[in-house]
Amino acid sequence: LKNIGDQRLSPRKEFLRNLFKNASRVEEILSSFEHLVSNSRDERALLAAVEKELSNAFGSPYSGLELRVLDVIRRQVGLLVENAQLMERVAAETASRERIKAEKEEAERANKAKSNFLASMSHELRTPMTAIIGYTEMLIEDGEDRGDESTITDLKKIHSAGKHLLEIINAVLDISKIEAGKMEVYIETFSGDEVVKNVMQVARPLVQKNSNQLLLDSTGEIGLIESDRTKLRQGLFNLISNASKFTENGQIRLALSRYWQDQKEWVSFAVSDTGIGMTPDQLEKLFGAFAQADATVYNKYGGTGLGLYITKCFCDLLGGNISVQSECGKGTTFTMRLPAAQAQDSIEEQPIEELQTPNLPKVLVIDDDPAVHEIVKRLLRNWGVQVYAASNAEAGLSLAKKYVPQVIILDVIMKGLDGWQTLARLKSDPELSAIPVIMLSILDNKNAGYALGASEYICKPIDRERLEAAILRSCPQLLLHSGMCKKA
Amino acid sequence: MAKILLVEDNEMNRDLISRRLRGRGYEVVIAVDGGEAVRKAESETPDLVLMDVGLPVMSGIEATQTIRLNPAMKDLPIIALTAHALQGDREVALAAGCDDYDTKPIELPRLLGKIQDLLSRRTS
Repeated sequence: LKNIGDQRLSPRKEFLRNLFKNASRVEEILSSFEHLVSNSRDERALLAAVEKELSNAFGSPYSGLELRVLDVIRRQVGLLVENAQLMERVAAETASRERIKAEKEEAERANKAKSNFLASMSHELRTPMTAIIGYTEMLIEDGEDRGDESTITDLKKIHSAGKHLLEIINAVLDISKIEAGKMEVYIETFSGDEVVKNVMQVARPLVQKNSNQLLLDSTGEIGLIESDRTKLRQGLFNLISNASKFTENGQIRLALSRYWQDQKEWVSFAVSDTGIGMTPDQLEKLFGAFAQADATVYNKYGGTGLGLYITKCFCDLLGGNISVQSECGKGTTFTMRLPAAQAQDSIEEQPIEELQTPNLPKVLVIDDDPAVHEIVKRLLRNWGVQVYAASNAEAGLSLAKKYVPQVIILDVIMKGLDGWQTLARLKSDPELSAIPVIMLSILDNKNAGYALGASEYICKPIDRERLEAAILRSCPQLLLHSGMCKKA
Repeated sequence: MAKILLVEDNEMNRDLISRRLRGRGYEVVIAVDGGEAVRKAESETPDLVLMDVGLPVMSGIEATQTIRLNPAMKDLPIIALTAHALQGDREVALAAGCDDYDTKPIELPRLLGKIQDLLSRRTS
């Protein structure tokens, strides 16, 4: 503020100096003002001080000239203070904006570095583990052919330690992904009962290791659900594997159910065992990362203590939850509850458009953003083609079947089926597979597009020239048509 | 016994998978990149292809598409092998014309199951 005050004061000083050509103490008074300005941000207090200084200097009562001078000084000082305050605020705001921008950029950089690290780590860690496990398996097979029992025993130890290490690596990578917000959810429709059967089959050797029985209650069933198949399977497997670890000569029971609650349909998977159970104390810290009941548990039973935490995170990601009931010495029941369908931001049922002139060449736009429909319609207005549109993949596919277009413009990111899945469907339908498809995306991912059979790939926002060029490259006959129309 | 074309750029994986397949009685021919895969698919006339997706020069996806362009090989069974169990890889592989896919690390019994399944479907 002092600097700002000084800068602002110097022109004023000149002005006042002219005014007071003959006043001998003006310099003295002004320097006392400077001091006041640099020490005060309160205009009123400053003015009072100025007035006091002036009255000390000139004595009272003031003459008419003195009063006018005083008034000028008052206004100038007021301006001075306002300016100083403004400058200060602007400086502070600029600094904080720049700081926020820098922090944001830094965070983005760090986040990107983290995902790159995760991706390369999962590759770098898994590749050597694959070799270790694979070669061990091969040596075990060779040993079996030769009947070399003693080597096989040792090789099996390497194999199981390797498998265990790979499991830990996978679990740690899963957790890093979850915590970095990079765990992707892949929703599809599938039979929950089939997943259950499959997991039971895979888990059977594990269950039999401790002489346990694995039973499926025949009363309930899951049916078709919309969820992430891999995550459900992993969660179920974790629960069964846990149960069999802490149970000997007992039973592990799976109970399924499907029910309505709070206007939503739910499915639940309960895994009960007759094992050692847990104390209320142990239950409390159960779902934390690396939280096995205590160190002695690890020594006796092994494991990473990550499985339940991952399972809980998966349930959260899928909009569900997990709960536990347990009694020490009697057994434990874990219940996973998931929504039977994922709440989609209502893909509205769209009536299929009726085309006025179905014989004109047609361009179909499939994009959930109606603005894009309008843009394409506008850009192709003079082409003499009919542009028609759908807001989601299903509507787009049925429109394409009803009025087969010459070109399809397809958005990548859509609710429901996304662009890639839609493209796969188009390409697998003999009636539609020959239609050139132009992918439209905010992401630059040309290679995936071409690999999947897209003929062109353009980035949003849509640029007229690029769209025209893409359409012409994928469907030159439209050029002829547009040329004819322009002439007519 | 059936002839399998193994397309894999990682030397250790190549050695491992080929030796284990040979141990099961399969004849194995090898390609180390997509271009070689396309050439050997034509010259060696294998009964089945194991195609690593992440290949240098030409990706396994492109190689598959190129192989499919040849009418003589449009029904050649191809199993894609993907290193990352990334969801979406499966769709890309199947859309490119692979018949099936498997994820690395290879679990031999599972992969053998898929191989036998495709081979028997072809002969039946």
